[in-house]
Amino acid sequence: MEVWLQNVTFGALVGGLYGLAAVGLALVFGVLHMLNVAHGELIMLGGYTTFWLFTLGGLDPYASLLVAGPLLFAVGVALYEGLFGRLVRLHEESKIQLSILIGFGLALVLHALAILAWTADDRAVTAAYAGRVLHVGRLVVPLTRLGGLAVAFAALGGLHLFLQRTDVGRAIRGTAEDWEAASLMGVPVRRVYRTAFALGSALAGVAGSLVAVSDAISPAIGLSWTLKALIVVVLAGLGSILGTFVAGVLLGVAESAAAFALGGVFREVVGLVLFVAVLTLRPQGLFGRKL
Amino acid sequence: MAAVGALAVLIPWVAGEAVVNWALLVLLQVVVAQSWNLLAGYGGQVNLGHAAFFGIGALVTRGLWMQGMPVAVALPVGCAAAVGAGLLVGVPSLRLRGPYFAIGTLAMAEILRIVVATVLPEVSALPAELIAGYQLLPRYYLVLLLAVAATGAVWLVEQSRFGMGLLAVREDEGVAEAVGVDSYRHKLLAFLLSASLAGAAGGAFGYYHLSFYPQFAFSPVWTFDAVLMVFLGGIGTVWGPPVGAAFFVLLREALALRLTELHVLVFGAVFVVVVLALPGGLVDFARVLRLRWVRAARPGQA
Amino acid sequence: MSGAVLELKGVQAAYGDAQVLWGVDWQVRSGEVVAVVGPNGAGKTTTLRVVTGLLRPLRGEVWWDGIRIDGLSADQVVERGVALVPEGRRLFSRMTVLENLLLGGYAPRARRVRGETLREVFHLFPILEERAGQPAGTLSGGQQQMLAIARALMSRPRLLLLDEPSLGLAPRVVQQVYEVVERIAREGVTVVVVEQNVYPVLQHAPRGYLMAQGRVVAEGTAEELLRTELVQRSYVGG
Repeated sequence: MEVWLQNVTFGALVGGLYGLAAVGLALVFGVLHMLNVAHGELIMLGGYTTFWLFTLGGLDPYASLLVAGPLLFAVGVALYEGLFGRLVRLHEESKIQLSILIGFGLALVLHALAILAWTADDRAVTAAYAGRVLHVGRLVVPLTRLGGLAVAFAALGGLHLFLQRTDVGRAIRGTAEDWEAASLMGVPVRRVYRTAFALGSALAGVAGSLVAVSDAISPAIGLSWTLKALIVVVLAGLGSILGTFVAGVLLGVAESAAAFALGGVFREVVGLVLFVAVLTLRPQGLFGRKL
Repeated sequence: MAAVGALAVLIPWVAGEAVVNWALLVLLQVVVAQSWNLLAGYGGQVNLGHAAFFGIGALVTRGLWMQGMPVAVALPVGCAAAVGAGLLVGVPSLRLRGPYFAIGTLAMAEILRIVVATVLPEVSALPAELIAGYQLLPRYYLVLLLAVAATGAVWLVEQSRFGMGLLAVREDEGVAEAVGVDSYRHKLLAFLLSASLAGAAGGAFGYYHLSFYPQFAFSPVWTFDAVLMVFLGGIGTVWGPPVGAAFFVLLREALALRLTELHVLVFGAVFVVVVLALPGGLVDFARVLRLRWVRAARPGQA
Repeated sequence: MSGAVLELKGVQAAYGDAQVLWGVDWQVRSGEVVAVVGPNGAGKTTTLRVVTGLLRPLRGEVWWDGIRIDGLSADQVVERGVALVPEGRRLFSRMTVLENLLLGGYAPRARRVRGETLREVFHLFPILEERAGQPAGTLSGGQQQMLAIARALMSRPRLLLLDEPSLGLAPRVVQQVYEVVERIAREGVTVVVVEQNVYPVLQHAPRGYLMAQGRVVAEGTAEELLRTELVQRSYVGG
């Protein structure tokens, strides 16, 4: 029983990170109606940012968040201006299809670039507190994972406040709902799109930083994180940050349970199976609006 | 076009083995490209997991052939296996709207790749008897035949009533249904046809290689190269994929790229540029050029 | 110069390959209330979309307050004092009444005085202040129309365009809506109202245009238009 609870707790901690990864993707999809399948590669870049800052500059990984976030924000702006922003004029069907194809190509390019730049080897950030654990009753909670969850919470909370309380946040929400009406209010829609995309990218960067702290990173993690984020977005449906976060936790728990009950291979497979199941049986997700 | 065809047939007689091997792989990619083109260009469905069908065809064909089954039987069985997988994947996922279909197929291909990577050995090497009897020539003509068949299949679809229905579904599913076209059946048939061609190509691939890495047959690069060729040449056209393949291959040889990261890097960039700038591909670009030339030749037009 | 503050000259527009406007000419003077009526498909909404910058015209010019505005993006047009209450209202139904209003005042020129504008708007529409925290989608049809107008007012427009404000509303509510429009006009705002339903707007607008098939086919005072054969044919003959 105890082992099982330990397992579930671990899964939940991992899942918080999944939620964070997914929210960035959901933001872009909800506002721009584009699916950036290179999202995982952006997470990978965030991870490498933290890794190199730690390895070359001794910067504490949690401090490097403050670099990874803005850096990936800038990368997002560049990607929007260079690539995704050019698709904005198209009508819905083409826009989504082309964004997927472009994302596909972009993902492969970023993956290749990473291998060329940093080799395909696994990299790890081993901070001083890396092995430390917290004892909660009889549960053993790794400190870095708890830290990851806390940061994820903070980031998502911040995002929520931003979207609810600020003018730009309101503009983003209005644009997501009806971009023409928003432009009739004087909202510069292209700029909002850019901001939303860059914000999604920044969130990926933060997620990547946290991944570097608690897991090994390598160029290969890109695709796997894209799929994780996609699974969570589909599981949650669109509409609420909290829902996405909860879905992330659920995925983490499901993965841990599957690995524990059925064996290591099923950790990855269960997520993908859930994904296909939700898409076919309940396309709007667990918490989402009807699409 | 006829000249290229004649050249393709005659290559083994005029060129050395290295060239034949090279040409075989190019033609193989034409088959994969045409099969993707069928579903995406005519059916309007983007299958990001296309490599899975190639991989299944390769695995099944090679497995059976290595067990002693003659390739003339093993290949169709491999093809059938791919179609079977297509049914398994297609029946649920074709009910999904465009983007969800794309990521759904991506997910399923990934599941398959993980299962294969875990279950199968790294390399599959041929037993001695099969190595002894290995001949390149028949394999080359097999792949050439497949390339012709794939192109022919796309052409046939384009001319047929089925193709018209498919195009209607691609343009606007709602309208197509209203006119009495069963969009689901059309999409499924296109999907299965696409899977069968890719499976056949995979089978030929499995038959061709002396030593073979099963995981490689499922690599997304097969999908990506096919997609690139289709977009380069012109999606939704019969000659687009072969034209795109030709350009792709020329570029690859000119830059001396092999299947490395550099290959992906360069072609990834090319792909993105093509998708953004030339959505109709080279075939469409040629058509536009021709129109402009015709218009310029007629004075007095606005 | 015709003394017009809003002028459309030979505006032609199309959606893709389908041309919808074949040369529209409007002249509206400052402070006027002008009606634009005509059957479905006449191009009235399309013309409004061109004026507000949602659609780029194929040919022709749109002049507002001395500057050419065709070719500007919608948010740039709003910044220059033009606001549209769109057909079907197009509220942000998942956001609250207050959030809709705040978003209405997004344009920099309006945002500076947003607090004051909000007070004025609540004064004009007390029901909105009552329901400020409710999601816009939960309001009744008439209240939604009021919110849509109020939201447009938040940008402090000097030209207010309304696209079928009476659509789907009971006659008594339509009356209320037009009373508000008249109040706005009295403040000096130039108003153009597009309606399919001829009678209520012709009671409130001294003159108007009749459009059909992408062109202006008649122009005149309310009485003249009412008497125009075309109008009678459209609405009496069906």
